[in-house]
Parts: sequence; structure tokens; C-alpha cells
Amino acid sequence: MSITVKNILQKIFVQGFYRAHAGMFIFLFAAVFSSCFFVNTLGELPPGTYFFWHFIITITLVSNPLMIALFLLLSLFYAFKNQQFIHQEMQKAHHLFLFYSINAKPAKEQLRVWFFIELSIFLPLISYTLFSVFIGFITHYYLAPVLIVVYVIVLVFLCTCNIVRTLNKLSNDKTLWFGKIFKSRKPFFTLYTHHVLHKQKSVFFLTKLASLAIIPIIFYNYPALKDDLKTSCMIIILMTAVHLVLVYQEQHFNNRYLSFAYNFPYSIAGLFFGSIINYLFFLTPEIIWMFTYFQPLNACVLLLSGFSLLLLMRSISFSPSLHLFSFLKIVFLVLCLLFLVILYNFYWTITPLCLLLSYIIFRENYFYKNPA
Amino acid sequence: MLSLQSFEKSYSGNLILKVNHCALVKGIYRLKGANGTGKSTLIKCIAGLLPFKDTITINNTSLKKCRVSYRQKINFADAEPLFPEFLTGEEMIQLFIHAKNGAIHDIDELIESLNMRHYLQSPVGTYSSGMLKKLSLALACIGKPEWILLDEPFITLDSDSLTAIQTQIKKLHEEKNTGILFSSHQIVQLENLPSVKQIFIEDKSLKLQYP
Repeated sequence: MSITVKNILQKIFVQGFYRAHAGMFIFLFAAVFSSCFFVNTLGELPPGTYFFWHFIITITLVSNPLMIALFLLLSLFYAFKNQQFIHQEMQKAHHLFLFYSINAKPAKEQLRVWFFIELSIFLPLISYTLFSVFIGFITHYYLAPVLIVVYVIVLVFLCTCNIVRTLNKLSNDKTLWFGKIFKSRKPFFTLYTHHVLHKQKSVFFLTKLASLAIIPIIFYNYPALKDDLKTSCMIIILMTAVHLVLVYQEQHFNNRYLSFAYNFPYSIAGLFFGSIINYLFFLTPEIIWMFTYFQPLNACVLLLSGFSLLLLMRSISFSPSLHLFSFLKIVFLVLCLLFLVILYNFYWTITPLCLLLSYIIFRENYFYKNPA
Repeated sequence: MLSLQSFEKSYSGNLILKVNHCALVKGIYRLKGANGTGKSTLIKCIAGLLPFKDTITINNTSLKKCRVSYRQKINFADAEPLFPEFLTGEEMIQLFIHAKNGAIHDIDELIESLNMRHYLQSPVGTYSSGMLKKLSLALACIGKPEWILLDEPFITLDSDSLTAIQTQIKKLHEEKNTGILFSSHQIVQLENLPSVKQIFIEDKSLKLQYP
């Protein structure tokens, strides 16, 4: 049984997971491993010290608490991502047979098979773990490798238990925590926020992580930026640009689940400004921080610049047959233009310019998605 | 009156449908045609969901010129409806009541006759295709539309629901003077709809046939 089931589950979940996340793995490989082994150091190095510096970079994997904490956090995210993927795959109609086939086997056997599947999915993390064990034993750093090994095994085991539990429970009907909070009426313009909280938690979490990481990395390392509106404007625009992934997903959500709403008698202005409520929610932590860090007037200028960029990109995202790659090219172009405008001290024009442009584009794009 | 003037609909340059002039007085119309002839496309164009060339009006209110007031006059139910899975049926009804300026009593009777009451508090994600279809049909009856467009309203419905929805269509027309345009390629007994007029889509054009 186990060989066949393992093979089938491997085909569905392991291969599927790696295929679906190939981009992420290529990025990680390029960013992490190549920086350890292949990236040249800045400036001239005395002969013979080249390998020494690469060794120093590599040893931080097991000696630096920040690096270890980062790895533990990334592992947690990886586990979350793989759980999300497996649960989504399980709910697909052609995989529903899993709910009336392999769960007929004893729990111990199910645990064993799924543990193997989880190990296969965790392979990149296990490789890193083995590498850290190797480095740790060579350099006599034992605590970090042991901690990492235990942590990864516990994660794999917890993921396995969670899948087996899902496969064996009778009903999947549950009320989500935010469902209880927002149990009252859900206005039309807040539906995307509900969708993000319901279906796109990991994207939202990553977006927030990337956006909020900019605050300590840049603003608290360079306190002079507090009074430099020009540079701050550039950075705030970058922070809001991180949220463009949510903006792009919004039109997919609208086209798939809210196509009925194109028949609603809402005015263009109402539809245009209505979505701001979603972005207000997404940017709440940044807004609170901006008003505590900057002067209120400066905070308003920065906030409006960020909002107008989001609205502009939202309007563009409604263009007929706009694919992600084209959208990214437009984002890059718009950011370059905005940075030029800021560079020449015209940052105060960003809000009116972007708002006007976005309204005009939205008016053209919203109702008429496909060419006539 | 629902009018189409110099109407044209193409996909990637391929002409699907061309109507020089067509005016429908309020009544019950069944749109017939083979698969791929453009029944759903026409209904979606009239509902304001798809772009087209040139003019569609309801009592001289143009879809392109008066978007909001046109959409107040027309309701629509999709053939295979999809709604956000986290919303309950009740929340969907509230949403439509709010958008279409309607009231719950618009569909109270229909909810009873379609036997929907027991599942309206569950999230839409848990509905079967038949339950979704009933919800979609009920939503199309909210408010005071002059026309209701139903794309394949009879698919996935059980026989009791078929009778209930036909009774509702007849009632809406007779009591509220609502025009109904529905598409259907199925062989369905329309016992409750004796006065239904047929519109055929043939050779990329519309042909009306009165009973």
C-alpha cells in the first residue's frame, strides 16, 4: 500500500508544490546560496583571504542569532505555505477521492506516509539544516545546528498531524476568527478585504512583513530622513508599491466572484473611491506609524502619495487582458517616473497627477474589460 | 421598451452577433439558439457586463450614456453563478437589497417556494450548484427592475423549483409589469408560461416568433 500511495501523493503534492513554487526556489537559490559562494566582495582583498571571507559569511548561518531567528521564521512561513498548498489541492474536485480512500488505513500508517511526503516537501530546509550541522561541527557551534534540527523535525511532524487530522475529520465547516469579528453586514466595497483575510492570508502577511521591514531598516537607521520629505516620499512610495500584489489580485477577485456587480447601479466615482476602504485597512499599520513618526502635514503628504499610486495601479490593473508580466513592467515604469518627479522636487504633484490619471483610466477600464 | 440599435458584438475581430434594430415591448421572451451562437453574450451585453458596439436602451435610457439609471432598470442572473465563498446567502441578499434599493419582501415568497430558507445562513462556499442557482435567481428578483435577464435559469434545478421559478416569472410580469428575457437551450415544459415569445439566434442575427 505504502509504495503506491506514496507515489500518488508524491505526484500530487510534492511535485505539485515544487512546480507551483519554482519561482520562489530559484529566487532563494540565487539570493542565499550564490551570495555565500559566488558573489565577489566589494573592493580589493589581499591574496589568500578570499575564502576566509566567504567562510565568515557561511559561518554566520550557525553563529549569528539573528540569522538563526530569520531561518526559524522562514521555516515557519515555509510550513504555512506548504500546508496552505496541500489543503487547497485537497479541496479540488479531482483530489476529493483522498477523503474516501487513504483515510481508511490505520492512523499510524497514514502518519507514516504523510510524514514521508512532508519530508520530501521540506527537502530544501532539510538541506540547509544538514549544511548548518556540517558547518556547526567543523566550527564547534553545536547549539544552533541542534536547535535547527529539532525545530525542522517538529515542524514536519506538526504539518503531518495537521494533514492527517484534516483528512479524517467529518466536516470542514468552521467559522473563522475574523468571521466572528466582522459578523455584521459586509458592505460591497469591503468584500475584497474579507477575501484577503479569508483566502490570501499568506500574501497579506508577506506584504506586511516586507513593507514594515522597511521602517526599522531605513528610517531608524537614518534618523535624518524624518525631516527629508523628498527621500521619505521615495521610500513611502516603495512601501506602498509592495502592496501592488494585493492590488493586482483585486481585479482577479472582482472578475471571478463579483462579476454580478457590473450590473449594480453604482456611479463611477462611487466605484473608484469605494475601494479606498480596502487600502485603508491594508495600510493601517503604516498609517499609524507615519502619523507617530512624521509631522502630521508631512504624514498626510506621504500617505496621499502612496494612496494615489495604489489607485493609479488599480485602475491600470483593470485594463483588458493585462497579464502579471505586463503589469510588473508598468509598475516599474511608473515607479521610475515617480522617482524622477521626486528627484526634481515636484513630489507635491504626485497625488493630484496620479489621482486624475487613475480616475480617467478607471473610467475607461472598469466596465469594458474586453475589446468590443 | 428594450431596444438594440446597430448592435454588434465581436470576440477578437470575429463577429458573433449583429442586430440592426430590435425593440422588445415588456413581455416574457425566451432566447433560443444552438451552443455558441451568443445567447449568454447577448444577455451579458444587455446586462452591462460585456462591451459591445453601439446602443442598447431601456425606455430611452442608454446603457453607455446613463450607466447608473440603466442598471437600476435591469437585473441579471448568470448561468453558472459564482459568489464570494465566505459570504452567506443572507449576506448576498443584503448586498443586493442595498445595491438595488430593494426589500426582503421582494423575494420572501420565492425563498419559501424554492425552499431556500434553511441554508441561507451558511456560507456560499458550502452550496451545491442547484442551491447557488436558486440564490442567483432570487437575487435577480430584488428591487424594482423593468427587465430581468436570466441566463439558462432552468439548469441544475429540480422539478419543484422549475415550477416555482416559472410561477415567479409569470407573477413578476403580470403583477409588476416586468419584462423577462431568459435564454434556454433545454427542452423544458413551460406549462406556466403560455404567453412566452421566442427569439431565435440564427446566422448571427435575432429572429422573433410570437405564439
